[in-house]
Amino acid sequence: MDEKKLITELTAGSEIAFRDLVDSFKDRVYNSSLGILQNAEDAEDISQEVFIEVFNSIGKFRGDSSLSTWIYRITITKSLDLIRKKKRKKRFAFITSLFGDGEKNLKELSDFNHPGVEAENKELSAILFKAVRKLPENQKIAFTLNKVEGLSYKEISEVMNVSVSSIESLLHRARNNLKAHLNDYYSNT
Amino acid sequence: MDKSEKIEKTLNSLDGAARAKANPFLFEKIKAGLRDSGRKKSSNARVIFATALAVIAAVIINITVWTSYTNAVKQQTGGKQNITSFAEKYFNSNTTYNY
Repeated sequence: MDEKKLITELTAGSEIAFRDLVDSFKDRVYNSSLGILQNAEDAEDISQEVFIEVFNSIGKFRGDSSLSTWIYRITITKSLDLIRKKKRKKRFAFITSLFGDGEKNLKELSDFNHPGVEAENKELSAILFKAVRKLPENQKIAFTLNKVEGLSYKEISEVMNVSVSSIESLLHRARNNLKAHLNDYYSNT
Repeated sequence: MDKSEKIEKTLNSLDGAARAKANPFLFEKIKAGLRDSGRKKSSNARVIFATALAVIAAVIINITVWTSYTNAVKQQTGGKQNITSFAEKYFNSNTTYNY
């Protein structure tokens, strides 16, 4: 089904069109959110939320961008919202632990293994993902969309609504930051 | 392998990675999610409607009480005025009676 026809059918509430949309985009949505969240359960929850949002908001889609760009944007927004929510919970848990709730320990994120990574690279990629967690948000998104999702600079610039040169700069800074984190990691092991 | 080679190898460890596959039953989960969100919206609407009704009732009751109070005050004030004019008429008048 071509994109214009798909949008028309979705706006009309067609279940067949919606199933087509989900089948076409579910791996892209899941893989992108997995790369950002580094947790399969969270990525699955976010994937559901993304498609529910798409279903409820398709009437508001103006067609300024492609459908895929719009869906990637919703995925990133919802993934970042979840990360911020978890950080707030962590801060609150830390404060309550100061007041005597010493039984609970702050849960550290475990090593993340992306299911698509080749076997011989699993260990190194887990170390890399740990370093990616420390990147500023924009660098994390650009890096994940490029390296995990395989988007081109142009596609990433459309998703993030910035110029291609901004993406080049973001990725350059991300790489430098990752090198610094990895240097610390390998110096201490 | 020296440290800088390790760092480079780590940075390139995602090269050739395949896209992760979503749950094959994702569509069914999404449908269930849409049904649940529809139910939540209608129960929220009922709560908002009931709250609005309660606020309107409280406003009407307050207006009624206030109106009754001001009317009662006016009547009392009107009564006081009657007594005052009665007193002025019968105790301040220059009318004399010769007995």
